[in-house]
Amino acid sequence: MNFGMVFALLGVAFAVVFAGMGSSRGVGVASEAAGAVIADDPSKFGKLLVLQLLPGTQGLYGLIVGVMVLLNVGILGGEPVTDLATGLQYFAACLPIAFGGYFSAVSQGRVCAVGVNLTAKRPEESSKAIVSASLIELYALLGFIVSFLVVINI
Amino acid sequence: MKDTEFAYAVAYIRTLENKMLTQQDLDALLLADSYASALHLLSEKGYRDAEEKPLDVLLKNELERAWETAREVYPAEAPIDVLLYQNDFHNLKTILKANAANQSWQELVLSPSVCDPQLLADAIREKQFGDLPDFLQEPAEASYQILTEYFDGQLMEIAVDRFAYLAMKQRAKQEKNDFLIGWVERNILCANLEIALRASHRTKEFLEGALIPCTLLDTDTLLLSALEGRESVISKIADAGYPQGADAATESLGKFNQWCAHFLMDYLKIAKQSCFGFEPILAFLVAKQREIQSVRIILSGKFHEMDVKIIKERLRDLYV
Repeated sequence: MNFGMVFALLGVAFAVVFAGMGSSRGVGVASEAAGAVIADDPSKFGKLLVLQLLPGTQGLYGLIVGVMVLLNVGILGGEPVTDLATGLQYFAACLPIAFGGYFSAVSQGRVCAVGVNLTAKRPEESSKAIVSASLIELYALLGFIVSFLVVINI
Repeated sequence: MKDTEFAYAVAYIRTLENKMLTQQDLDALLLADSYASALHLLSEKGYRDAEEKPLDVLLKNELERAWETAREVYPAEAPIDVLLYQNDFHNLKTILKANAANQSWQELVLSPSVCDPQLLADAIREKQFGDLPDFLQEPAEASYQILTEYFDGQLMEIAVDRFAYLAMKQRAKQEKNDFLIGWVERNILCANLEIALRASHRTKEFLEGALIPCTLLDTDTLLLSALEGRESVISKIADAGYPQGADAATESLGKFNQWCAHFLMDYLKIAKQSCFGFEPILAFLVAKQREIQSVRIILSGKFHEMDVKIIKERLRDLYV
């Protein structure tokens, strides 16, 4: 059995599954809160859409890293991985976005739900809610950048 | 239950809070030229059919509407019904007294309540207390016995009030929700202090039966203060860390009740900072109740052409 390939694909699974799980939880909480406000006042949909979408970016970062790995390990392109060490390198490269993405998306979902509450009370302050939620995005981005840089340099 | 499961409900409650009456709205109601123009203002603020319905019906419907909304948006297992316990226990007292006096109770019961008043009345009439919800079975049976054995309405009322707070306390403990426990304890503290302030000529046995165990102020020491007299209770309130409560109690019992309302509202305002969990709905429902009480005080005053200053003295703090 080619353990190198197994670990590389496990890395892809981690990046896509964990980042996606975090995003779906985050978007779920934010959208649940937004749905309540929109039910009462549909005109707030535009203001709340950004807050609903923000926790979804981690899932995209995970997907990009996953596809990058697939393009390098002989699944969608590149040379097939034959040794364990390279496979482990790909696996390790996927971990920052897998875990960074998961936890930041869940936290961002909560902050976005708080932002929805803020917008419900004071619609004119919605930009502050978006800025607060964006602060968490930085940590998802850090994870994504590290994973991306490692994958392209293996 | 995870607090994020309340995300929808809390956000919805926030939108409803925007529609609640503010202090400025109450001031406008107070300064309205007449009862009719106050009703008109109220209908503009979202009280449905304010100008058509009798005041009692209007306010009752408004409170029921708030409860319907809360029940729609909150998960079924959210412990909001603990707030209705006091209505149920009020209904228990009313029905027991009405039965004893052979009078009708239908106009006197409070709504909404956890237990249907008709069910409560049937259970009392047939002495089938097992038909009632768990939290009402023992209190209903015990208070029925007190009334039929001693024919003392006041004793029965004190027993029912005590059962009400104990039931609320037990429910809050079951939920393991610190905010709810704190709310119930503060209510018990206010009730105990009021009993102690009123109890200058009462016996030790009476006080032991009336005071409710409370974590915020030891009931044994409060009992001793109450036996010593009103002054001792007031200094006990100050020593317990409530100097403003002591000042209010020195002035009058009415002022003390006003301080209690303020003290409870201050606690509820913590919920303004919560965006998850059960706290905001508890605060909303109590706040709605307070708003309706304020509207009742103002409109009754307007109806009887009372002086604005007198009406204002009776008002309590709002949540919004």
